[in-house]
Amino acid sequence: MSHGRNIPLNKIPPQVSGRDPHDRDGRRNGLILLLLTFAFSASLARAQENVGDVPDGNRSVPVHLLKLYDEFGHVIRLDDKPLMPFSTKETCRKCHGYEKIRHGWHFNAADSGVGAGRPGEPWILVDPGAATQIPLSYRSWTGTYRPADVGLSTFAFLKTFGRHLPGGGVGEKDGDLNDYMRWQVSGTLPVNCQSCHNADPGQSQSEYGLQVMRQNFRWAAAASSGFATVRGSAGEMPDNYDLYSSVPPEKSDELPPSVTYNSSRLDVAGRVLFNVPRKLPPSQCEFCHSSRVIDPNQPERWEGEEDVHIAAGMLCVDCHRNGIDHRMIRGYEGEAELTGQPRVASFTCRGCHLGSGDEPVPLEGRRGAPHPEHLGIPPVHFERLACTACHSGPWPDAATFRVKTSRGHALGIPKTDRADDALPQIVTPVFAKQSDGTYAPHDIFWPAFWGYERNSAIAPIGPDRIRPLVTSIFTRDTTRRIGRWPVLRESDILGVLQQLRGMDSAAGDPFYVSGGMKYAIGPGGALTRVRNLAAQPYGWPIAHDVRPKSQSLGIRGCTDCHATDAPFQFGIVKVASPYVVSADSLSRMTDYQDESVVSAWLFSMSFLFRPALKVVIVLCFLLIASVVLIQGLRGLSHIIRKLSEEEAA
Amino acid sequence: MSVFRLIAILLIAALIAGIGYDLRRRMKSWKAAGNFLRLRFRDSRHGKGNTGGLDNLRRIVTIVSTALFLILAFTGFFPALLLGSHLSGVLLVAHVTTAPLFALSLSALALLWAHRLRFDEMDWRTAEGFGRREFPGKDALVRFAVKVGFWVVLLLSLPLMLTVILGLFPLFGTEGEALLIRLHGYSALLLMITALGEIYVIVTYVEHTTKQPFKEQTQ
Repeated sequence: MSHGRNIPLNKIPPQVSGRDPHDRDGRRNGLILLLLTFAFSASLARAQENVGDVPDGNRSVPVHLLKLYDEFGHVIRLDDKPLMPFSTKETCRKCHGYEKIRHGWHFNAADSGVGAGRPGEPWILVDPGAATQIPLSYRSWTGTYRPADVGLSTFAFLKTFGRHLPGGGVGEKDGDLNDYMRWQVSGTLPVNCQSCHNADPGQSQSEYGLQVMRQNFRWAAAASSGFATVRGSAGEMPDNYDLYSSVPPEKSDELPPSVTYNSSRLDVAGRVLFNVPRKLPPSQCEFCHSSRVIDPNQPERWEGEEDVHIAAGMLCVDCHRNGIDHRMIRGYEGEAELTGQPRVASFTCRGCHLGSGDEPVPLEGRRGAPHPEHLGIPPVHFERLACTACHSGPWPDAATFRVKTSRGHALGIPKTDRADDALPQIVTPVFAKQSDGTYAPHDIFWPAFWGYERNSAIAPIGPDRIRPLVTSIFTRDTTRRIGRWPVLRESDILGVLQQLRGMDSAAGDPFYVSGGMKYAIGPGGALTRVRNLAAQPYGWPIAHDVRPKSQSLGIRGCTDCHATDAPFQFGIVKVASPYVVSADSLSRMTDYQDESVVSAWLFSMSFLFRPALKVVIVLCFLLIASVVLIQGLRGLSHIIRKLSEEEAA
Repeated sequence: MSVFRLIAILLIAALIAGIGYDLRRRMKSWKAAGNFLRLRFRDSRHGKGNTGGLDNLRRIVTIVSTALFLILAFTGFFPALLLGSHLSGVLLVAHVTTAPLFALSLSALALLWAHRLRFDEMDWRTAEGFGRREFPGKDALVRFAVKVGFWVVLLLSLPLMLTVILGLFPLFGTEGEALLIRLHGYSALLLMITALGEIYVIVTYVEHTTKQPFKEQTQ
């Protein structure tokens, strides 16, 4: 018998094993050995594959001196012809479980079966030439549309928005046959681990964005790494361009994409040192998660402040943590229930500063989070307000501000429109009611797009189909600035709607939404204007920057929010859209709070009399207390007298 | 359901049941009880038997205080008991606007009625009678009950006002503020139960005739 010998079964000659081929026990034991061998080999292979995913407890940061692998898993050598860009997917998966990672929050928007979670910032497709700004998302956030709804294939989506995607997700969905040839030229856009994990000063996410916009998908990660240079553009190559052939492109001024590596960064073994800190600095996150509030009172960057947590030395990832599955903690109330991860509750504002209350061990005060006293603030505030209502975003002014966001305005990408009024038009802070009934500051914008309505179903029309219909407007509007809305008139909208009806009468009734209203052709052929769900503004709650306690709403007293002109309820929300009639151009904050302006105003008025109320109640209290005290003393005196009389008797 | 909501509903139900039982005990039918209550309310509202001057002022202050108290009770307890929500919106505005007026009227009520409803020798004997398990007689019992009700209302108004006042100043944190709100609610609940009982006793037991039971007494 050959028990216990860890030698592949097929290498054991029968005479050595002494096994009778007809011996049933021997066959059974051989089968067990075979299974054990397979199991051991599989576990060994798995352990080797994911060696970086299994911490051994050592807190030092592993040195990432790595060989580079191309998209086929081949080691890259500098004399390769053609020299291929390294693939983060193939390079990093040698030690990390790529399959687990690629379903993380940053990459799983298009995955089926993934909960949408709390509404977040959508991708905003802006086309001034079609008077369109429409929220898109692969997540099922109410109010957003799928990119395919406006004719954007995944390839087109990547070309437009991949600049601020860390790869993965739709970047690897190259199965669209319509763009098959383009995918072959550009390659796929796998998860670019460096977007977050490469702390090298040369790591450039803006270079990554540029390469994506040039359709250099397979080259983008290498170009951003800081030790490789990518030239040329896959977008300029014809569909039949073959990367591996030496045939030059047809046009001499078109440069095919190519990569060269900085050889000084490669050691004799062809390895490159990647700077991969255990905790990512905020700058890694900020490329995609920045916003700039256009506050006329603080026009310069130095006049503003940064998040109080960052100023205190914390990192984004101190709260927004994740495991190897990259299911990032977004940090909103209710996330624990939605994701089925109870521990997540302890990473909200409340969880760190107050404790979620149901942990087996105290978790409050993580990273020194102070316990807020909230002196004199009635408890109802903590039930009806998100923490962010008082603590986050810009201090509200009489009217909302314009805000530019990384993803909405391509911040960080060279040559992007840096003007304050660049599209899309997003305003902040809007204190709107959330689905959980609490008020929180939001960034909001008003969708503007053309579409057909049939049986109450809305079907938006992509800008490509609209652009030819509005050329006359642009011809007339000679003062329009490039990249801004044209000046639309009622007759323009009616004209386009009539053209749309003529183009496809079976598609439904054409409409245009803008500025919170839906415009359609009425029974008499005139333009009608009605409120409609599709025209409602899309908003997403903002949590940063968090202001310090001394700059939080309420620090100066109740009237920070409960004055008759307090921005929290009576702030003007400037409706920004390609076309807004003057009656719709301004709205009140109460319009987003399910509260009538009259009751809010009456309540705020009561605060004018609050000091007098205090005086009145204090005086009444003293008077009644005196009356009760006098009577009580009289009663006591009576009892003493009675007791004395009884004693005397 | 919160503990407060449960306790409040039980107490209010007990009060209604007690009043219903007493009325049914005294009257032949519910219809007769209704007529009785209507007549009594009319008599008490019209102040039958008032002797003018200060009595008129007492009557007006009492009616105003009762009206304000009912507004406060409705605005305060309606959302908490029926909707299970916090006081907010128009009800909150009505509540905070009425509250100082009620405090003023209650103070006036205390000044106007404190001397007349002070405990005296007869009340002492009534209380002693309770100790000996002796029934003091209906008139003495009513007198005693009305006086006790009056002073309990005044006594409960103190934590009621104090919890509001303290909550308006930045003295207490989140837990402290929550405690103040709870104490305010319980004080208001007890005050409401006491006041409704007091109103019932006054309306149905105290004779609204020229023979005022709470006229100045000689000791």
